[in-house]
Amino acid sequence: MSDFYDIDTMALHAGHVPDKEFGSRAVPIHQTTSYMFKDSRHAAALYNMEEGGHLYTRISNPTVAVLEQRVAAMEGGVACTACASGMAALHLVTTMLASAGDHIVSTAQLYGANINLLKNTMPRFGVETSFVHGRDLDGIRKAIKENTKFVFCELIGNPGLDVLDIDAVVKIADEAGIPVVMDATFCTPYLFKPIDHGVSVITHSLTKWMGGHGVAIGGAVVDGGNFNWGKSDKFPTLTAPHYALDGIVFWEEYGPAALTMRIRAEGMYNFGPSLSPMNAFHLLQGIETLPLRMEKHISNARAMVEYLKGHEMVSWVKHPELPDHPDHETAKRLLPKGAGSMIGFGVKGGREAGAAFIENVQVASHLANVGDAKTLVIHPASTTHSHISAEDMKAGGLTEDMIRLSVGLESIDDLKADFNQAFRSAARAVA
Amino acid sequence: MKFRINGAQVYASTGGREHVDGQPWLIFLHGAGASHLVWSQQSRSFAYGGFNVLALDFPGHNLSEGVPLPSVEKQAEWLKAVMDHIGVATATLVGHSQGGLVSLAMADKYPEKVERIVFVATAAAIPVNEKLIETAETSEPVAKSSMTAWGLGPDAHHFENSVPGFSQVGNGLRTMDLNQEGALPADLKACAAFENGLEIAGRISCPTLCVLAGKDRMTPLKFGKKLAEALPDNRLHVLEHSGHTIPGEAPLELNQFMRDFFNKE
Repeated sequence: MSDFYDIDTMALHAGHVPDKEFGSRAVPIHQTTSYMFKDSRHAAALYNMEEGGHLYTRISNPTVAVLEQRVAAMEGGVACTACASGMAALHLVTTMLASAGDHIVSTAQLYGANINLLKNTMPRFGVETSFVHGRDLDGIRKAIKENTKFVFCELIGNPGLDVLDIDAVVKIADEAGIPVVMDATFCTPYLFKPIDHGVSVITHSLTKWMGGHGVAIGGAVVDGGNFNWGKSDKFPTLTAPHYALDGIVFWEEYGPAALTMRIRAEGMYNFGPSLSPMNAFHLLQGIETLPLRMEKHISNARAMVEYLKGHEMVSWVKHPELPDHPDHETAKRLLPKGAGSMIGFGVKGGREAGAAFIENVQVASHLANVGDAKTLVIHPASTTHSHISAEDMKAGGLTEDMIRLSVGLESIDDLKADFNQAFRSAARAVA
Repeated sequence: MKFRINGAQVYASTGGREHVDGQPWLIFLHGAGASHLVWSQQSRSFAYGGFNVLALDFPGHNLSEGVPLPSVEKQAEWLKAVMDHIGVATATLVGHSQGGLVSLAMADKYPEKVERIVFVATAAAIPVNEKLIETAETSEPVAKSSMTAWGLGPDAHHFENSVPGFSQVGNGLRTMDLNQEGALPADLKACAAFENGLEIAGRISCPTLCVLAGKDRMTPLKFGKKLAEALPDNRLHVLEHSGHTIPGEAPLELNQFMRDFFNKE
């Protein structure tokens, strides 16, 4: 028996104990911008970060805090900061760790907006990123420079479904004295716990599998607390006096949670990418059933992989659990519970057939999201990754004929029947 | 602040404020395997509240260099050297767990240096289980996990927290990781060897405050109460729902008990 609760229990309970006054079992929604100070001393104490509490919802909120504590618990981190979206999470981490003149090394197999932020936006603020294929471990090692602040990656690349050998990447980063930051949206802590593998910071789009219902956008930064920021002078944002709070040195004052406190004191204060309490509540409702949903996501995904492999209209199927996937062995090692519920496949007949397929599904939904309880399909080349250059698309394992399928929780028989009729439409379109 | 004692760097958090002449001194002493970080909800609060604060890392713990000290008596000697180095004539000591034992030893040997003592989740003796010491020596990560689990009460195990977004489980584990290897078994052995605490407690002449926890699995409440009963001029508060890690689990209550105690004295 573990010393601490299992993830199934944490998903339901972590971060919340019923309040003494009313005993509300569900997490109350604190839909408020601000909080009454007990007196002027209390107000000063909150502003000085002398004690815990809430002063303004841009910085923190009791409902949002339950979500943060739940995600921190499930990931095994020291703390979590929830924010408006997964992109806000990456922006917070990037700006808290890197400044003008700094550098990031990133794997190339990323969600399109992650690529855009690092490749096109951050350079305008003096932060450059070198992109390297996740399988090119030597390339990752060589790309790290004196001013590199972290290695960024996704375990299961979006949308190419490449699986990164994270243990090898962490070793490379360790040798260089820098942390690994991982966008763990596609795996969730149910399938993979990055901190157990030495990842130091996790970003999440909670909008996806964590929430699962498609009603709320949200993100999170989980602080692993396992990186010694004080070991070198590479991270002055955490080890040198802060401009406020009487020159607080976050590393000395908060140790493992230094990054979180900097995010709270500067990121949330100055950028303000706060999550609404209502969205935090919705996301909490989703997280309560994450373990159950993930089991069904995985079993349905496995069934759909088999179905697609045997369908005459499908030219190819990509999923890390297939033996011909280039990262099959890595996926088996790192993702024993399942390699996710995303599937890539090509429709025979090319772009036209693919479009006809997508336009004719009736149970699956054609939209720009993944990880929903409902099955979703999209054509990345013309939508989610349309702002990415042909070269970057190739590097990300993205082809023109690819359909990205996010397998939901519907009856597997209904899904197959829906795909059968959509494939018939696709065949007619190119006949 | 950083300074050197016996040639080794010592770190003490001042709670983010410069020391001011004439203000009373408040010295926070952490427990076994911990560091000044356990006091993060107290050090700033009292530093901004008119005290000169020193939240110390004992040698070999977090930001203090040197070899972990092998006995509570040696820890008290080291504390005396720290106070002399900084020029602290007398101070209120706030000791959590093992830090409470150091406070007892300090008050016994150097009563003139001790103005008041706040005992937090501690007892007059902490007879550490031999199996735990053995585990700490042979498999420190397992011992750290067990101590973190036993050291936290039910709310902390539910990840309820006064600091938004924090996990006391995560912070407990990672804080211990920042100490030198061997610091934990050294602390546990020092605790186990300290046996005359009850006798010392009966001789303590300064005012004392005991803040104990109802769900304490490291220093169970009944042992803490024995200490409280032995102290001649003591005030006792019991936080029924807290576990052993009162400074993190019930920081607002602890801080208020301390303020009330200081205001009365």
